[in-house]
Amino acid sequence: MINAIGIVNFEDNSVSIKGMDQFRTLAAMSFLGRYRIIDFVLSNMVNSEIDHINVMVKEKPRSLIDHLGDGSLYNINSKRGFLRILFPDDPALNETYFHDVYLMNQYLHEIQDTQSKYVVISPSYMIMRINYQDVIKAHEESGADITCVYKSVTNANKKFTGCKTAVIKDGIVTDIQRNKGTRKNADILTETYVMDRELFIDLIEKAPLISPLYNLVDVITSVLSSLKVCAYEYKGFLVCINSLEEYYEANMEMIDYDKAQELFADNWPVYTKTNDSHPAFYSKNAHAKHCLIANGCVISGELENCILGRGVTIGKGAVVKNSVLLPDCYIAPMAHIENAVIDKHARVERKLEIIGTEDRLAYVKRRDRV
Amino acid sequence: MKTEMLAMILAGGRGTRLLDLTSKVAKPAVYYGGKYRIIDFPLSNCANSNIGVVGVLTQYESVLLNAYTAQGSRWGIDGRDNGVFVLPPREKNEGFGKYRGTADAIYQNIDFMDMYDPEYVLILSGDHIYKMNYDKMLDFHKQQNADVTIAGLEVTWEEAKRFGIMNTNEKDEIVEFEEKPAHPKNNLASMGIYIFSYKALRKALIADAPDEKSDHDFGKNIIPTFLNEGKKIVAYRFKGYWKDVGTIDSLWQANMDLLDENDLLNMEDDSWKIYTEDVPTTPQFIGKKARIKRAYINQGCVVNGTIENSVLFRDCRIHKNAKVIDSVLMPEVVVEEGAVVRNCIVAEGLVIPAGASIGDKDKIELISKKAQVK
Repeated sequence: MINAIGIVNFEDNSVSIKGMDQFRTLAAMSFLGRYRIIDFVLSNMVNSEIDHINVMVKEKPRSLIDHLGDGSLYNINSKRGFLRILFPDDPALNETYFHDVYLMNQYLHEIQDTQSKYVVISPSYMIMRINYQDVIKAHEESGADITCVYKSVTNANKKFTGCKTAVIKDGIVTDIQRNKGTRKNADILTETYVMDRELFIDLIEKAPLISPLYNLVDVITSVLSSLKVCAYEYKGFLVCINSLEEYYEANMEMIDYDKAQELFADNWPVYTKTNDSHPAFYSKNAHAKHCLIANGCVISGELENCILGRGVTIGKGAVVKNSVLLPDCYIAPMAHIENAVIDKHARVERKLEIIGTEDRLAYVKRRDRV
Repeated sequence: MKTEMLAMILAGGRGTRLLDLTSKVAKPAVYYGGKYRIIDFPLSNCANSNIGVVGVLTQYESVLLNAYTAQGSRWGIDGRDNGVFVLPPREKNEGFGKYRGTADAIYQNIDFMDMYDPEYVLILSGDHIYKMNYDKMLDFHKQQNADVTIAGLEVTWEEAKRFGIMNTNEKDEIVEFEEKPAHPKNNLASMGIYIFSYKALRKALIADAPDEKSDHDFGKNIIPTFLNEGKKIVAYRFKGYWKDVGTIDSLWQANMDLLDENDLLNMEDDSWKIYTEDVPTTPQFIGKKARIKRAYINQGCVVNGTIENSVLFRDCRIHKNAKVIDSVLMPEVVVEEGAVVRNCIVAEGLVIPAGASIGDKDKIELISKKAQVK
């Protein structure tokens, strides 16, 4: 019998991918050309042999529902396993009252009805390659009530702004704080937790009684002194996609094949929905250097330092540099684009020059014709 | 279960002239076009034409092909009453039922077809690369009130000598069928795509089966018998790209055709996609030293060298200063630093060692053994 059910959590209200989140929930955003952000946490779960998975969605679930289907594309047995999308049935009073614990309470019976021993909770916006079975094993060995996964980083002054950090003493989490970006070194909490299913149900049920505004991090912070909350050090690849700039940088850094090997491994496939597009076509006028390119693209222009989603067309003579192009966008011949994020289905065909800078990225909206 | 038209794909052929590419797999399973297997084309055409029940008749080296086609979800043919059904020869009361010819293969599966009680049966070959709407062909068949409709393609008079040629009257009714005529009277070649009204087909197959002189072949036996009996056979004219890749040269050429700017096979048409197996790989990594011109490159490739006029299947690695020119690399081929590959089809998983130079500038070569690349 499976020993854990998975819960894919969403980010808190402080996270915003300016522009892009107008159209879809963060988890459903395109990433590295052929993936959606949620593919990574789901693949981690499936590869860790967790095939009972609840995906919590804050809002705008349509795009995610389209993408996930019945879970068979993630290799989940369609009879024994499940991939369920949980989105709010009852609206919360307002945004302040709406958080992960609020939604968990709406669906707590689903968790009660399963038989697994543990719950594994992991958010989609922290991208990593982690085997949750290793965390469960450490959890069992330490005799912890709750195990939190963290990573020690040395760039907390530049990245992970707003993320939670753990104060750890002898393997025990003694406090949880917010990364204000003032120090380089920090133990970043990946918001990935393992705990007994029964403890989870108990904590979530009681949370609103303590405060209706408590989210999961608050709940865990509140029990640090009464329960044994252990820290599990994760040493692999980690990025947190919590702003348009982080989204852009996370994409760009993966263009480098060696860097990407930290995230991808042969024995750890990342599953995603196929789009049945043809292989990428490079015409006789194509120039492509240092790019990450998905299938279905038709390239006749010049590309440097770019991520191309599926089905992107680059017209003859167009020049695109340092940019992230989401699926199905069209760049007209002779256009010139730099430091930009071009959202899905956008067409750059009238204003042919879109130039951002590293600090101020240009962004073209989904389905816009500019 | 009543089905208006079911499709039967003949996929038992070996394709001897494809040399080592078909030593362990049947020809319909041979790789084509950077991510496909040849049989993806008729299967996707079925899916796109709304045909829900597809039988695949396999025989020669069928393990891979059976496993591959049995997963009907690849082509979306997996709705509740739908499916792709693999039909290899089986042991029967009368003994083992090896398929003796194309018609015999269909004859031996009459029990399968009867389960679906079809009005029409579409007979296809698993060996051909083309996009075609069989639903429109069925409309034509009904409109003509024909017993058989055969799809035909106009070929050059020279090519006509290599095909089954349909001699037609002014109403495009077929009056004579000639296999590989030395002096063709017409240039309308049979594409091996037939729509039969099932009752007529069933009767003809049962009559043909015990005939010891028959080759049990559609072109040689069944169609001529229909003609002799005065049945109505009409030609359905197809316009577009169609290729029977029988040789290494023609397989290479068909891959090169994908690089034509005019998109001969209409691969960019999203309304008629070709579906295939979905292998989880990364996107393609194009390195700082890459130079790519006229190429069709699948996901998972890592390119740091030069690629010109070539088709690369998934997960190929082209290292620094390597060159791949006028070639087709099947999945997981590695071209190490400084190696040059020219005019080749390189079989799955081969490593071209650093500094090696393979391929002949005057002819197309299949590289399928380690010994060829040392």
